[in-house]
Amino acid sequence: MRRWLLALALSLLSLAVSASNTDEPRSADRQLLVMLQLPKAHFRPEASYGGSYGDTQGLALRKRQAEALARSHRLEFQSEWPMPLAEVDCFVMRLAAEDPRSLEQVAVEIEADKTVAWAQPVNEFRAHGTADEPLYATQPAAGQWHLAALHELATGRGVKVAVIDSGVAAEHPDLTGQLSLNENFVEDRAFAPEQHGTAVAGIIAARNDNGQGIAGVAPGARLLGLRACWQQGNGETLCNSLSLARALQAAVTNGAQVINMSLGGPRDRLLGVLIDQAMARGASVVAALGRSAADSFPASHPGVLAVGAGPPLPAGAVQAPGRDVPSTAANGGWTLVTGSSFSSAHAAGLLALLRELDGSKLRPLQAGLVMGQQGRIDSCATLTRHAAITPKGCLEEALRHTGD
Amino acid sequence: MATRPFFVATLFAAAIAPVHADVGGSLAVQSDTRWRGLSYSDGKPQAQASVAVDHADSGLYGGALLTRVSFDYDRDSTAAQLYAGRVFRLQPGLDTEFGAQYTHFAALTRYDYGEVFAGLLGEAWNTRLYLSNDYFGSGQRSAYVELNLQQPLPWGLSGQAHVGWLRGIGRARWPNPDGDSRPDWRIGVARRMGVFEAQLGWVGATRGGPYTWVSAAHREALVLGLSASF
Repeated sequence: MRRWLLALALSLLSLAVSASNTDEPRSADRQLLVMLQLPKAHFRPEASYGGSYGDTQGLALRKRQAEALARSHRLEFQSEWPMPLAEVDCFVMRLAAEDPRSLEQVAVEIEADKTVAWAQPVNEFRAHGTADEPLYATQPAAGQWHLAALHELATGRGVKVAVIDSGVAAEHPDLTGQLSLNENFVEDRAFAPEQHGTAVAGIIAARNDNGQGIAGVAPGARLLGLRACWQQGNGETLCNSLSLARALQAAVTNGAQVINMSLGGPRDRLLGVLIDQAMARGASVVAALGRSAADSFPASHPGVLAVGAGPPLPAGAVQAPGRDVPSTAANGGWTLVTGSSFSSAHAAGLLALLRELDGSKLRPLQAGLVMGQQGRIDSCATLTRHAAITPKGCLEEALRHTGD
Repeated sequence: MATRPFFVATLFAAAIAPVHADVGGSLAVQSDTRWRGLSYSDGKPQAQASVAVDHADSGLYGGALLTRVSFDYDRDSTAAQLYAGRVFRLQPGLDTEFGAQYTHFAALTRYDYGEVFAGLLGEAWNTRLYLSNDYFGSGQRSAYVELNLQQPLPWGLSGQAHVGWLRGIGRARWPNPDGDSRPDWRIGVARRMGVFEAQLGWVGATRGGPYTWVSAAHREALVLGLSASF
């Protein structure tokens, strides 16, 4: 009863303005990504003379090659996106609606050309979680994870956490000053603060010093808001291969140490290459578990920390709070959210704390996680293992377990 | 003929193009053609053309740059700079390269010189060491070390910074009263618009270093460049 009264009170207080786009996604519309190999950077004398790095050379040629490929395979050439991290130039082509061929079939045909590194359909990804009615309630992390005790040890100070998601409301009172970057990688869609990305960002790094709202798991972390997903009119959050690839590239370029991807879709070669590149540079990638094999990527990708809200968990996956979690809302208020998306956000926040304590020594960071029963992360044990002291809150938890 | 290396490079590019190599080129105009901080166009605008070939699988590359240069005492020449090298992956985000470049001056062949170089290349930086046994035909060996940085900026701009240090090694035929070494620098921004790129930079060098036969009057300049790649 009290819960519903609180819900009603906060519903009235909260501005029920939902920033959402109602347009249908255009980019997943029978699109194909064709990758042409990008040469490595090297010495160029014209760079020394002119102050240019000379890396535009060959770009026009690759574009002409891509246009010729599009013509010969009866595709419409749409756009190009250099992906230096994956060492390819990525060209977007469209298969006409009336064309009877499948995207997979065209990809195989186009890969037969020696100039093509690979081709793949533009896959669609979905965020794993929903937002309920606005509600300010107790944070599961405060009780289950002894958040206050964890913050005695670390707050994730200075650790860069990339939130690859829908738009984050940077002006939210719990997120003001927490983002060092907030960029849009969704083609043809203007930036908008959206529900899913804002909730994920709040769980990771909401301020704990402003006397309102919630406290993030890592309030000292610096968030990189990388909008690769968009919110539909029905509240669903969608992303695609291209927007995610561009955001991943920006995460690495901007030195993200933890990358959170609370979303899932089919296996995607381009995203797999970029995730491997990010991990090879020392970043930890955290992803939400999907409900089926069709939406299990990137959680199923080797090296990625897969996080779910509850059992059953596949081998290697971990569990973190993800049910009835209060977090920041796009309209400036707070809301209750449920789903593995938010479990992933909790784990990303915890990795940021771990990074602050022991970051340079742990590779991968998740190797430092201490697991409890049923794949639950034991946050207290994880942090005290890497800190010189055990805070009171964690000590009580340890004694309780000893008593059991 | 200074254009000969350029045509050799073009033929080389055309010959290996069918084996999955990228062949590209560029045309550029600079308000002042500066090499290692010094003006080789007497502070005047100059055009240049380049051709380059890259074999992505092996990391082999080569190319040529053609430009006009103005030396002291009204001596002008066409210059062709021919280069080749190979880049290797050390680890993700870190490559190394080894190569050589040879500069030929059509009307002043005694200034011809070659260099070998080795470098390390990160994603936003690179550093190289160049060694020559007769820098610009000065009779003096030289070592040049450079560090280049690149940083994405708002509005599609890219920030660029360069510092270099040239040192003459051994006895100089024409000793420089300002010493054997000469630091140079460049700081600027660039913006790419499709195949076009515009650059604006503040370029300069101190006095000293091996003798290089160009006017020492303007040690610093604001340089505007426009280039088109093909």
